[in-house]
Amino acid sequence: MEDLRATAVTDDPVQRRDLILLERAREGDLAAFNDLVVVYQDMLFALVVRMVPDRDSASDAVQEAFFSAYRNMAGFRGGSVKSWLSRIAINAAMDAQRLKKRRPADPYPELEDDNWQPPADASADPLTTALTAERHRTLNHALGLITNDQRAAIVLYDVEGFDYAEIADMTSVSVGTVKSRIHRGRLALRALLLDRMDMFRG
Amino acid sequence: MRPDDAEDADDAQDTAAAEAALAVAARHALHDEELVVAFATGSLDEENEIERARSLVDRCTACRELHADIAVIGTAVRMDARGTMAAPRDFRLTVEDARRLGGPVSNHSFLATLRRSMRSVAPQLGASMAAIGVVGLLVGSVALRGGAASAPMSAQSGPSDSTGAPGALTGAGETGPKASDRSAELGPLATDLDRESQRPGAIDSATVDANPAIWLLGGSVALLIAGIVLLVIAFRRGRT
Repeated sequence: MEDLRATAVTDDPVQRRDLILLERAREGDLAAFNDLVVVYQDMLFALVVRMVPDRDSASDAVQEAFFSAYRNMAGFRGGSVKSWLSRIAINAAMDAQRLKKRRPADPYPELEDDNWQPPADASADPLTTALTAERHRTLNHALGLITNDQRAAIVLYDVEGFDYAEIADMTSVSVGTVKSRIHRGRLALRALLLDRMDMFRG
Repeated sequence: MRPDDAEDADDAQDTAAAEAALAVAARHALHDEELVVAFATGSLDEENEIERARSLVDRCTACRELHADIAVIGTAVRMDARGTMAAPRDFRLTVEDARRLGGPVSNHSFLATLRRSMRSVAPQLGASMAAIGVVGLLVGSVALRGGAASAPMSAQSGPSDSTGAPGALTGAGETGPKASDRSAELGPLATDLDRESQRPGAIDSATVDANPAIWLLGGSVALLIAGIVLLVIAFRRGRT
């Protein structure tokens, strides 16, 4: 079996930790794989729930993504474990979206975001907190209305901070297509939010 | 001014404003909005495209507003991402999940743990074993040389002492009577063997088996080799 430590010389301690955990998992250490799950489950859920705005479907997609990652550990060829897991989660999310599309009578419910917590800020007063929560709801509603591809590109770029090349790699399209999806997605978001832009400008 | 005149003036003003807005919208309709969005996102690479986008934003009110709105939306999405969204359940895999998925886990966890812990102690263990092996070799060789040096002395003192020499070599006080028994049993062959054993420097097989220095030397060599092998394995793993 390929030694993952040889696949990427990295000074990034997070990356190094991930590679060590994955290598142990590949050697049969389930606890090491579960350590990776614990590290990335919140991040992947946050990613998937923005693409599949239904918490149950998003949960199922994330679980399926971890199953798939476990099944395909041997296929990991180095690089970023986070990107690798994100790619798998995106595929799982897209599968969930396709499944929903086949059942249009059962549309996504509004994202129940009671679980969402605004960023911790000591200076935040109740009014600011309420406004932040309202912005979050409005933005997520709008995100739910643009196309799946545009939403995935925007979430990966703006929310997860991946660059164009990484997103292109994850979604198996060209960098130009990624840029186009992001631009058109933002235009669509602007059209949807046009009458509520004051809320965001403030 | 009469009220009718004021109303007419207001109407004229509204119409002019509407026409101006229409003209702006008509002009803006010809503008490349995606270019403005790309400019606002900061994803334009070519200088001439950046220049075109900047010119649109400078000259066209609608493009300027679009540019500002896209920047605001980008910031809002990024700010929103700073909020935490915890996973609603624990996604860790159970052993049953792992087995069902046909992963490498199954029954190898113990072996993996053992291999991992062996790997972590291999350099220290190898160095220790090699060091002990070297020390054992030194001590063993000194002891063996000491034993070899004392053997001729014992052999030389043999003829003057009728019972001492064979006894010293075989390590048994009652060798004399035993030798006599053997002579009785083996005849001339026994005499040859006895003569051979009395030769200066000769050590019989029983002495070799009993000599701890030989065992020490053998063990030390084995330890040294095992230690070196462990060190080489640890070194090679460390390099990869």
